[in-house]
Amino acid sequence: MNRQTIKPPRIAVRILEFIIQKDIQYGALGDFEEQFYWMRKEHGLFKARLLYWKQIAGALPYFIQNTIIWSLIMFKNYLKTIFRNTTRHRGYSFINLAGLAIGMACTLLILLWVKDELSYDRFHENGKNIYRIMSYGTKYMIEGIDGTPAPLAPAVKEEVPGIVNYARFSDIPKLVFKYADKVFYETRGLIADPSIFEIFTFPFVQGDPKTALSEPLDIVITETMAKKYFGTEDPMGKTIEVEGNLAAVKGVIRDIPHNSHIQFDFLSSYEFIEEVTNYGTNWGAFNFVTYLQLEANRDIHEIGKNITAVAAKNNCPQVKDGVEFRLQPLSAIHLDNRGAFRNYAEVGDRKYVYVFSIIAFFVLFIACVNFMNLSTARSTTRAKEVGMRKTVGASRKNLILQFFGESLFLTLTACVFALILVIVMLPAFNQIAGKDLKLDLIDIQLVFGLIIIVLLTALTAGSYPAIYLSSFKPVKVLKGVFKSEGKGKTFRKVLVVTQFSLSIALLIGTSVTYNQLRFLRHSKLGFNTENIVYVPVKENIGKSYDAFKAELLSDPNINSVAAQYYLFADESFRTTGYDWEGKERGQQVDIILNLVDYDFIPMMGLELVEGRNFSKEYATDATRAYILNEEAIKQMRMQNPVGKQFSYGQRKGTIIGVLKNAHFRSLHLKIEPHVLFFLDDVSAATEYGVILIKINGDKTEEALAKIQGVWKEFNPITPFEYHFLDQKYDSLYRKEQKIGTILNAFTLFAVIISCLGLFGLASFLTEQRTREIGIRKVLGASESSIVFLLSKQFTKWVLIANIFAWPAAYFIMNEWLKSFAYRISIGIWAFVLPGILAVSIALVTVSYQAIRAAWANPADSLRYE
Amino acid sequence: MKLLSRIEEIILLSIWRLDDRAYGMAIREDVIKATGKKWLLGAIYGPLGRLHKNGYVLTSKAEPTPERGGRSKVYYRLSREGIKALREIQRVNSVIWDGIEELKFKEE
Repeated sequence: MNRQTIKPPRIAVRILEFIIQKDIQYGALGDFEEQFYWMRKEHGLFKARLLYWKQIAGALPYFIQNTIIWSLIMFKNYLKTIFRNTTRHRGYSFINLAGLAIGMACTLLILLWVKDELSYDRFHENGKNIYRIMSYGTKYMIEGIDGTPAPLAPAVKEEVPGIVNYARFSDIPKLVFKYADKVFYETRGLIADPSIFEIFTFPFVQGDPKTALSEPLDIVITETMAKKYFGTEDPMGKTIEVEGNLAAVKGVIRDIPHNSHIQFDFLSSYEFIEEVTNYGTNWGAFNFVTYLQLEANRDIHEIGKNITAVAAKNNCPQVKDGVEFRLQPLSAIHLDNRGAFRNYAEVGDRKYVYVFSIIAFFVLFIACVNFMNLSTARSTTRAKEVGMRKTVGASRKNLILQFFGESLFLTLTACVFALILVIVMLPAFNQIAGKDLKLDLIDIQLVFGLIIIVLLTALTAGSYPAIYLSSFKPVKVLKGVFKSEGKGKTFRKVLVVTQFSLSIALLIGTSVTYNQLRFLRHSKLGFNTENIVYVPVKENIGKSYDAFKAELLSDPNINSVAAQYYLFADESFRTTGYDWEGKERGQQVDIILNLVDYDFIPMMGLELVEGRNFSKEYATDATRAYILNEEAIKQMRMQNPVGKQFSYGQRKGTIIGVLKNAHFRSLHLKIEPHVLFFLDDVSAATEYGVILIKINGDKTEEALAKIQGVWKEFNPITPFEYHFLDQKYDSLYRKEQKIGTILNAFTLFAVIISCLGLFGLASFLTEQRTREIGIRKVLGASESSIVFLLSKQFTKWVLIANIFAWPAAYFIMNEWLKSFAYRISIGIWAFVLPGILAVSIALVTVSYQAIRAAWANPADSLRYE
Repeated sequence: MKLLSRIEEIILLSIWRLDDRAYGMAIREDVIKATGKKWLLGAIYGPLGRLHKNGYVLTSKAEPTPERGGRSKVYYRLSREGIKALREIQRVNSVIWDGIEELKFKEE
């Protein structure tokens, strides 16, 4: 056998290479191999190999003793050094730990939030192949909405290749459900094709998904809803009375996970639509949301084009006007806020996910800066240690590792506090953010994220101290004349300026957000919302509206009563199906249609710029009168509108009045064209209709009691429900308010951490100048001049920070404001005030140290000279 | 001057005794002879490495040989410090053994 092919066991060679000292390794491995070949010749291969392996056992004890024991001893020494440094400088350690803990807690909270936002709709088994059809159109200024016509999906499945299945959804108005003595409003209901259970993963607890929605009045309910109506009874096959129809429970599904963009409590069959709504199901009514399940790896652009082609072939009027369909992947839906108007969908916003991630990063960075600053500022105290270690033989690498180890240790300690903080703050955060986040330490992703945060923090915080402190020359340091070098000072300045730039930018952000929200809440909508209560048109109210109204008005605390078909803030019905005198060829104006009665305009305090309100004196008003707003007139390009012909479909009439523009809807939107019809028959408005009741603001309780009494009298079955109109308008900005509150909290934390750092830095630098101050005082400097001297440099840094913070904040906040059609202009005060605030907070922080130093008796400070 | 551990001392003496033949295998044989204990080859290199690191021994390479997988034999010899250390041990030993002639258990 060829000797060259038989070698010592390779793994053993590697191990020996590792445990034998490098500089004699070469000879040693040669010796081992020589012994190996000798053994093989004398005693055979097996014994040779065995002996070779045994060499490891021989070499190991010494290796362990030499390397591991020594490193353990050094580790103990490092720990002791850290411990001594931490306890000797309690103040600084506290600042470091508190800063890092708060910073990490913020980051962790935001990490939880972001993780939750990104987790939407990932639980569906077919998820990857599910798409939603979105409508895009230039003509209608539609930027992508989820409405599609009902016949689209079946036609598309027939004609376009690559489509496995489809399911259509539509939301339904609030309905009254009655089972035995249990009566509730149910607002979270959806109408869907039975195929929903084939496409989406909504597991059944009871019932068969294949047949559950096969009959027109079948419903499927969630476990929670089943418990609500049936308690311990078996819900299967029971009938619930829904607005006079009898619906049979054919299935119970598990509650919808909170991170599903489709949310519902009950689901009814597509055929049910005729019974409860009057939705159009033709090609022109975009009332349905359509989901498609595609074959894997299909080109979604091509399918989108094919879908548009199918709709065009079927004479869909919108498509003829330029609307086209595109597909949107399921996973992208939650963070796309364009389809936001569907009330069954919870809508997130990609923008805020980014913004919050960045803010979390900022807060953590600010805490890291504290660590860097204090470590380098205190370099003089550590310099001697570094000098000693170097003299005794520590290499630079050892020292760098030591300092990184130190920051890792502190970060880990801070991490424990951060976790405690998160547990304490989570309930409040959940409330603000409207989430149900949990700190689940078994979650691999979270633990992984935590480890990354800790390592990143330890690396960032420890980097500069490690490199800077380990660079000291022992000779210089130990001679005793060591002064922290200019390099360190400049770096500190840069860090403090960065820190305060970030804090000031956050402060500016907070102030702009606050002002914009205040503007939204207090800007004049152009009509009254105060002291107006509204109740739904339910049960007998529509039929006996006049009696209901008269009964209410008999109370002195109720000023007026009016009916409206759609609540402006809630729903809208928009169409282009109008004709008017002087309409240009091909001119289309998308006008929002609504129906109101006589008292609506006076009650809301709406102003008529021309013409008159609907009136009982004109019998024709009921069927032939139109009131438009200024915006509609402007878009129709009509002169002297009052008296001109206007018609909607077959309903021909004249314009009797023009309303002054008012913000009927969210201030996110520009004022849109509106047309008001007369609401003759209130009972036609049972779906969305509301009765608005203006009450005496001083006697709210009494008025509400009266309304409830009258309601009960007319509606023995349906539970009483009311809302305040001004609260409704406030709620349009709930998302922004949430964001505002979260932003406030994080800004507060950022400012606190920055100030902690500044406080530490100031106290340290002042301490260093104790003797200088003593001499100044002896030579006759006044206390105030010393305070000024000490505060000056810090104030200067914070002022410089403003220069960086202002443009950055202006740019970002301007972008944010663009999401509102009506917005404040960012005035100079939005910058000056946070700037002044930051400077004064910094001054207060620093002046405590400065004043203490200035008041100190020079005899004390100079005694040691 | 730091005193050497016992095995280090024995290895240094072996190298001195072996003179120009002092390489790993030979040192091991010699150490076994001196102590009467079976030393694994691997156990030699720990102390040897430390001696080398502290500058008590120097190394020199011979021609590569096929028995060693193409590696050269590495011979060790004492450095000036090594000699000094051994002398120091000799001195210390003679001092502490001085006046002790016969070692034997004393019965009362």
